[in-house]
Amino acid sequence: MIKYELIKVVKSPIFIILLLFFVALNGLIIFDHKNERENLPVLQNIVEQYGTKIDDEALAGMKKEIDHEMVWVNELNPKSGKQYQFPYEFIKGHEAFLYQHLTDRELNRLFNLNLFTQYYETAKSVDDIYSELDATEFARQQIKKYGLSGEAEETVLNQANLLEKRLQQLVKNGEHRHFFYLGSVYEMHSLLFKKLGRAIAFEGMILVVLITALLTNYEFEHRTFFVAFTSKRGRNLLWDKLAASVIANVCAVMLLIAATLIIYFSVYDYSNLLFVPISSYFNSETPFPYISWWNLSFLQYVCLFVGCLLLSQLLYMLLTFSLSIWLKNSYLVFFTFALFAGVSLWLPSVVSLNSNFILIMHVNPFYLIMNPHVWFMGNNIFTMFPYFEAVTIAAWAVIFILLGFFSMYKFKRQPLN
Amino acid sequence: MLIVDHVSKYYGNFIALENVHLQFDNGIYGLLAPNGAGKTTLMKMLVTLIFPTKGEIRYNGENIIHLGSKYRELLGYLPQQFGYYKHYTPAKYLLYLSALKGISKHEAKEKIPELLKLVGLEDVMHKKMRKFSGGMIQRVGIAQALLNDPKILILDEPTAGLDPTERARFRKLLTQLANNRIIILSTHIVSDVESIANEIIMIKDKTILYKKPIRELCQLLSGRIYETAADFQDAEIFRKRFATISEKQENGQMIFRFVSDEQPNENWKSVEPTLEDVFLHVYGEGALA
Amino acid sequence: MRVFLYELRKLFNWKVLLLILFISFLFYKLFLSFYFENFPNGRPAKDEFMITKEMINKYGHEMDEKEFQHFKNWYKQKKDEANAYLKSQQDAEKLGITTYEQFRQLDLTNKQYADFHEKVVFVDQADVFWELQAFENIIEQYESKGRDIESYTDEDQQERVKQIMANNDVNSVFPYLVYENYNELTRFWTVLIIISVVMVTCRVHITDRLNNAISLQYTTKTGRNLFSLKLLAALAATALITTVQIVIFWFFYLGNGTQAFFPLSINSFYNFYYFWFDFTFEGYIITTVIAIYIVAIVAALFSVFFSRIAQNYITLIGSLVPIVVLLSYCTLKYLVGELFAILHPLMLTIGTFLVLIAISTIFIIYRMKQEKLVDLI
Repeated sequence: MIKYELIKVVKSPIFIILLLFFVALNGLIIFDHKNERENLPVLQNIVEQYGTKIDDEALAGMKKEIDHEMVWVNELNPKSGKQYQFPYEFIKGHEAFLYQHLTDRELNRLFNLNLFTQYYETAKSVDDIYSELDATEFARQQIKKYGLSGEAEETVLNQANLLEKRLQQLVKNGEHRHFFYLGSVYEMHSLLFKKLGRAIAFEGMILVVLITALLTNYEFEHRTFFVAFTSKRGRNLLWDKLAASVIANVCAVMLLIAATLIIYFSVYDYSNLLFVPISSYFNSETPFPYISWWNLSFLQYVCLFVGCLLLSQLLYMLLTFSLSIWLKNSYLVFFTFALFAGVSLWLPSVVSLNSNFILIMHVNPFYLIMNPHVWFMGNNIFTMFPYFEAVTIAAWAVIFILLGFFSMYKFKRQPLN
Repeated sequence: MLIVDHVSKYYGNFIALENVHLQFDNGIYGLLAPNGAGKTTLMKMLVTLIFPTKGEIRYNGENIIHLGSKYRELLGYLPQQFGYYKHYTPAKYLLYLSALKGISKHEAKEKIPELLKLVGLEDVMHKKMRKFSGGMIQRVGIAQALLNDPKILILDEPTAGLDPTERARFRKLLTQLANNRIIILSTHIVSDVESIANEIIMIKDKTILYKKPIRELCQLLSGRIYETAADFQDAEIFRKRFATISEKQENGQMIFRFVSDEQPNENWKSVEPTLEDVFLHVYGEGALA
Repeated sequence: MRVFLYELRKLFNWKVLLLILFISFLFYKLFLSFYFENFPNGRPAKDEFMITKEMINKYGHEMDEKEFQHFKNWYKQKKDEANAYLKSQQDAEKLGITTYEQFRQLDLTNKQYADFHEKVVFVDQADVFWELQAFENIIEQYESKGRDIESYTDEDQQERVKQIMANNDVNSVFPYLVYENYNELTRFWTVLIIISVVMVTCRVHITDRLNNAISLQYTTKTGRNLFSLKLLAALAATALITTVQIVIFWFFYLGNGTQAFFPLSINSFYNFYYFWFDFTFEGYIITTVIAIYIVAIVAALFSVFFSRIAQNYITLIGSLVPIVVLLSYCTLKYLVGELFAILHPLMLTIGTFLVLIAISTIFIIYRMKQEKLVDLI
């Protein structure tokens, strides 16, 4: 039976068209601002030479390389008569000179050296920065920004304590002391996990709602329900449809994710960086760096990210399944689903900010996908719980499964005409 | 006068109808053919839903495609399956269709109660159609076909879903209407047309086989229909030995009918052919299924 | 006419209207209410808003060199106010801060200074210090007008900036924050309009197809002209929805109190955008409204087309998703948002409009011709 249901999906070319459209859209996101990221290979060279771990040896080596290159820099403008230690000092005093007298190759070499130095300096300062990091202070600022108070404030501060402990452990592990693309310059983490993550989540949502609604409503919209639901399988046919939905949706979403990631990783080279901890200081884009609740490598984080994306899509499938049973019309299902999403995103903004209820309101499957770049991390005060993602998915899976059973129960007792 | 002039309809390589030539004057025409023979294709061409690949259909000498809305203005059509809005009442639904048919609101408001009375739906005129039975919906369909007092009335399986009394009433209605218009109804139920049709059109192998009055059709088999009774236990032997066209039970015995050029033996007695015999003879036993 | 009205009425199904109402409400709450509730957004934006309004009273729509001198005097007066305030503060005396100039150049890495600064500006919220910031911003912008020409690489753009500089309009006291606020609101509101229009018009044909109504409708006198009538009904519905949405928008927008700026030129020294045409704010608003109607109609044309050819709702919604996404993207970027700003090549904006109108019209005309020719099985 499931096979026949799947054929209905495969035979609708619209899903393939949509999939291609979404992949193209993600391609645009990936290529957007690619020019600003053309110096990424500088890091690749560093990593190839010194490894990803920052240690004294690597720092000494880098300093030596800078010193060596500075000899060349200092010869660029014999008239200046000064000896510069670092390329940025030279650049600062020679803005006009650079573009008038240097060839493109020289310029490129100079800027790459400058960037190299930036990696060096940042690496050198990592320990100092982390010794001053204060998770509680970060939480306080955020609490002030969003105006939390009372019970909610207390809870968040408790969680900040937990984060503080994790921070200490992180420092002990040396997770922060790893080279990675400079987050403050390139914002690669945001590009991959926030922009693309969010895009995939919404695109997947559209695919999932349409595929699930197609299958569940098929007999109603093609007026075949008298035949279909009076066969031996009867109304339990809907369970087959759900099973087929799972298969079709997992395939569609995985295709979308896979195609997007393949484009991403072929444009931006991560081959040497797969095992760098995601909490590396270099990955940070804001003054308060990303801190994952566990010691996760980039690769592990990507896997968890994909898993979480996929599971959230299955939640949408379950909701669509129940909506379809009640509404029996794909148009209504689609827009009612949109309504659910909107309400889920809006409700947290009307709840009072002084009780834990505000935090509970954020445990919803639509808020979940708004900030995929801080999944499994303590960087958002509303989701500052190690198992926030797991709890959200599990809780709503239970709710939606119960809703599904209830809908089926009602459906079986419903007159069809 | 409606003339179907050597019309063929192809869908790519598939032949739906081949070289159909027909002429209709006022009166009732029964289009008799099993499902899939091309009945609906012919009807759809008559109502301009689809266009002939070859040939043309003319009304009073003019191609109906060129006549366009002038032709459709004269048309009443009841499709096999037709759309209605569940949340509309029959009155509102007919009002909507009268707008499509270009009937003035004033005229429509007079006509609609009359028509609904004619099909026996006056009591539910203002009830939503959501809960209507198949037969009631079908009667709404008949009413809408008559809205514009059509000169050409085309009915595709009009009696589907009607009970025997409703059928009888419907047949009576058609005979009343037939004076000054062309009525073409397709059916595979012989009794629907047997008593009322002026002519029967039979389609076979994608083209017209016969277009004759019932009497003439029956004459084709005149003297060739035989009937006999047999016990149940002999039935199987009969079926094997003779090409029976129909069988029915009567007084605990089986009555067999079949076509033969000569009387096989004295137990078989010659009977008058009926339209059903012709139908069954032409299309074989499966046709009535 | 009656058929048209019936079709129009069929489009406004109560369930659909209810959905649109809820979706609009959520859209408003999630994307729009911020720009109504927080306008002007914080300080010194609020002060700039008040001061520019005051400037209109004092100088009229433009501020010429002479008036600018007056403005600088006005600034000086405010500075005196600040000085007086500082003198009245004991902490200031302790820290040795007696003038505004000193205050302005405080080394904020010094904790004592930073605390004092914080107290004055954020805790006490002494108005004058915010106002002075606003004054400084305006003076700086006035004195540096036209210097941002360097940031435009294209010759046409530079030419246009020069043209604006040569014109008295550049002295208009129209502030960027009024433009920015209108721009954000109107571009997001247009996305809402696109969604509402598509939600209503995409049902125009498909409900009849799913209801098996086509064979009946197309054999009536109206017959194959029904497509045109339905198209008209969909366009009327589009006009209606767009108008209602725009009226509601203005109901909220008037609350922002920007009416005083309507007659001002938006190519002002104090707007961060320059435009290809010499718009007053009013003129610009009318232009965006026209753009909104065009976008809405284009959306409707596509939606009617797909409504006729799609076999079911899934295909219909699936084919409209890319259209709504692309149309919304262009709307947000340059078709309604930042409309005719020289940031975007003039030909790109006009070209996109023309292409959109052309493609959607071709789709519809193609189908209209098909309607007369195709078999309806």
